[in-house]
Amino acid sequence: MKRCLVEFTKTGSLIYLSHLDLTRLFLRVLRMTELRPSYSQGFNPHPKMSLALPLPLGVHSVCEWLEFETEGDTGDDPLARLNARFPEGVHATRFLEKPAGYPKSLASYVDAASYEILIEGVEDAPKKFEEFFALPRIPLLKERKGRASEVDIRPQMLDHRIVKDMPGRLLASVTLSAGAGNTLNPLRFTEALLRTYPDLQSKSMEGATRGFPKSPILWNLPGTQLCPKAASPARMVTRTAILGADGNPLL
Amino acid sequence: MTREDCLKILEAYGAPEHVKRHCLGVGDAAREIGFALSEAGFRKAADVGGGPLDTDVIMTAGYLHDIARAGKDHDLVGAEIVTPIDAAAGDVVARHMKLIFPEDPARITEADIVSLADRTVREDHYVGYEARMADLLRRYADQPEVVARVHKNMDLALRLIAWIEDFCGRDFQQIATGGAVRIEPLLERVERPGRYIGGEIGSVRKDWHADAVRFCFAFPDLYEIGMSYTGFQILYGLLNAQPGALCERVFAPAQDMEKALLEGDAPLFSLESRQPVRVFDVIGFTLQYELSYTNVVRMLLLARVPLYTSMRGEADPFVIAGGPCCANPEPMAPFFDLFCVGDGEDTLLALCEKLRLWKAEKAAGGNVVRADFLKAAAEIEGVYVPSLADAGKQPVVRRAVVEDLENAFFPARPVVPHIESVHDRAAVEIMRGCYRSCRFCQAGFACAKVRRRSPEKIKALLKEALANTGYDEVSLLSLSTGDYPGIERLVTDLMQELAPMDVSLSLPSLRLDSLKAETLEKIAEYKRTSLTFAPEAGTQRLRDVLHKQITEEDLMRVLEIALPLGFQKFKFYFMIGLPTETQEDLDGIAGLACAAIAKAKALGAEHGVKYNFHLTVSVSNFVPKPGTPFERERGCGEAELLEKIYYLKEAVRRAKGANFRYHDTRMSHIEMLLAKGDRSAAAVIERAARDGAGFDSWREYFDYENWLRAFEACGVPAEDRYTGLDAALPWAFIEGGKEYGREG
Ligand code: SF4
Repeated sequence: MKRCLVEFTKTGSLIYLSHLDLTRLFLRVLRMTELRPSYSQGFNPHPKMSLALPLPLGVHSVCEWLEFETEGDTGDDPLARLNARFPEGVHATRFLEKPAGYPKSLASYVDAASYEILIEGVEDAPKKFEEFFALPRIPLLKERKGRASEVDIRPQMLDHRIVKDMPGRLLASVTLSAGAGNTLNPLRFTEALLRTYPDLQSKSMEGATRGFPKSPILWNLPGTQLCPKAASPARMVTRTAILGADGNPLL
Repeated sequence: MTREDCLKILEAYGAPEHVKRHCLGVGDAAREIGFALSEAGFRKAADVGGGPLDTDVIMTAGYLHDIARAGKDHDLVGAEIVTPIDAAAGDVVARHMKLIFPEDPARITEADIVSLADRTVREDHYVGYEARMADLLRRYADQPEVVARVHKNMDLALRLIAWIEDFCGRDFQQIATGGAVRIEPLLERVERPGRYIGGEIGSVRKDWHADAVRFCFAFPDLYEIGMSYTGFQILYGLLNAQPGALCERVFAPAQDMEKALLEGDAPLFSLESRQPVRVFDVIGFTLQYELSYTNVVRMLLLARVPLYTSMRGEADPFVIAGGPCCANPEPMAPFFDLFCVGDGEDTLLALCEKLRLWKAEKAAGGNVVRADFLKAAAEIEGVYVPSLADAGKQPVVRRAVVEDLENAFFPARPVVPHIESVHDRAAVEIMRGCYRSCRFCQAGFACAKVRRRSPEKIKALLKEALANTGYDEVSLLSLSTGDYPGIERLVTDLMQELAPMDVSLSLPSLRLDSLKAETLEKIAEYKRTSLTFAPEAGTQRLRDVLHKQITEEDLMRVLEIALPLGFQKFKFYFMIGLPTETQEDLDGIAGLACAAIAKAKALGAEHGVKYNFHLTVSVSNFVPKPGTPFERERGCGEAELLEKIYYLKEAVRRAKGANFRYHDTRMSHIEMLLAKGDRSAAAVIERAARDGAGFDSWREYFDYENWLRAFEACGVPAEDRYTGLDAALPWAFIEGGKEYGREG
């Protein structure tokens, strides 16, 4: 039995595939490339594969991870074989066999993820952005089973940095809690940001196409050390998302 | 260099994701501008080379122009990379940053077009020249030489854009985007955007500019329903395999997308090129069930195609239909330019050929009009052109039949849906037509001849499909799989071959009465799903009337085999409202359920165990269908059906231990009215759709009152008017498949 990891990027229209649909797409491609995942036993066998961190719909990624178990041989150049079969938009950047000594699933190592956020159409966005992170409490309504309650998302906002301050456009990087029941959805984060500063929202609506408000563009970037190739210097982030038990990067 | 080739080169040079996207965006726009100019007849000035624009150079330079963007002097470094691939394109890349547009717009070259595209595309989408220049001026506010160049170019660029618009007779945005609909803002507003993005494994995107008939396959229901329909996979694959044709897809948008389209003022678009559906040569709908008719109307409205044949002009697409509902085309006849009756494969190829000739003649300046194509099309077997039909004098329309299924096209690379669909599996059609003739069954009577694929062919097709899709389930398709000669052997062989690949076999429409015990054993070994059984009627007398060759003994025999094998769930299907039906027949349904329950108990006692036996009695409403021996029978009214259901529900409840399921009587009533309708039904369908009807086969959206109002408003009685031997059937001119002695 081998445990394999695939690092990949996801862009174009495929950012609109849900986590479940993306997993199914991977299953098909793995089966097509003779990297058939192992199946669990029983009457309803399911493939042993998972994504390290599901992203919300509409978020580009330059570094995501998939892991799966396989019985067979991985053969020659699995990376190229995968890329030959992926539809346009998904591109594998690394293929690794999981090192021994990391028994847990990849998902259980994730405690944070970094995103880049582009906000358009306002001049004092950087100031507001800094102010936002200086707030002690950021309450946001959360709906569960039809009942709304208020949660404070501030503790889940771990880090932030202004990547590029251009006139009228701001590129910023934020690191948010992720994994094991403590995930702050980046879209919820921007929702809170835009709610706190309604003029950010209204101004960015000026760039609307065909009458629709344009939402800020998000890039997911879990950990620089994990994807030195994929991330350009402007997209460096400060926190490693997937750490080994000793605090060092897992990979 | 194709787009794919260039993408590979960008990847090989490690261009970052955003650079790749920008390059593709600029390349696409440059290519569209180049094609638009060429199509409009543009020739370069003699001293800059003369002749037509080289679209290859435009594409290569456009797709690779920022290949070295991550580093310094990216124009020059980029040119060094591109020159060995294509020297002319390398030259364009070298100049793309510092280019000044020509004073005289008529002197533009490939380099100007790439530069212009670059100055109108932000990231990967068109935003227009002004927006991009505003970006630049803000970004380089502290670099006077850049600002000066931008200013110097601005006048020239705007003049150039105006000239191109003039030359092509179209808006520049239209030209640069190739008319494609920008769907991202729409996707952000819908719940399941995966339905609309295309680009699935197995999907085909042919060159939009190739000389081909552009066919848009339209399915009037949701993506996940339409994608599971094998007929679409066959026709999509078949058309795209033709060099002279291009086939794309569109499905009925869900309510949220419909709203987004209307509010965003965007037309219905195809999944592959995202082109407005109305710019295709043909929009081909499949009519699988009557309750999808309103979706056809809604889709045509969203596509902004004139709804009625009579309203369409020379620039509009041909709107055509195929599928089982063509057994009575009349209710939909005013909407369609033509219908394909019977098997679609040969008819569509013949249609595409005639259309290609018609288009060529038109392009050559010939004096041809829509009606010329329709007249030519009417000669093809299986084609019915309503606008040519003289009231009452339409000659018989013969059904097209694919005689040789063994060698008929079947897609080895089916499209794998992006989102979970009704059937996520590789399917092979093993047989077309049915040996039986149950008298209510439209499919069973559609063709007299049963055609089969050989077991070898079936296995080969399945293997190929599995290798190209990665599916973990396969299915054998036909109307009545149990009747395939040698089905036991085929099933056992397949199960043996597939099990080691973690692939399972699903067997819809298996006739349990004809199944051997060993096959059931084999199925039980690895899957104990529910077993279904369709006696259709409660008494032997009525089953004989239906020609349904199932007896109570058959049913009991299956229980004897299946229960000890561990099967627990059983479903019995019946119909009510059948011709000659009496109280006794309804009692018989409950009686059969009782007998089955008693049998399960008795078997348990005999074997000394207590079997888990879950029985579901499922009842649907009989709808008389054109093209069947029952076409002249009267369809029951809504109240009548409901009364029968209440009676039965009570009777089955008394039998204790069976679940009772029944079909919505109101939906069946409307289905019947549409199935047996004449041309007057078209106005009703339009009225209902405009008043909100759509997705009528979905219980949560079906609105009976709205339908009744539509019938009333159009002055069409909401009742079955074509019953009895002397009724002049509106669909009489459509040839019956199997003979059943239709008069009149
Ligand atoms: S009901 Fe089934 S078995 Fe009977 S004719 Fe129709 S397809 Fe054939």
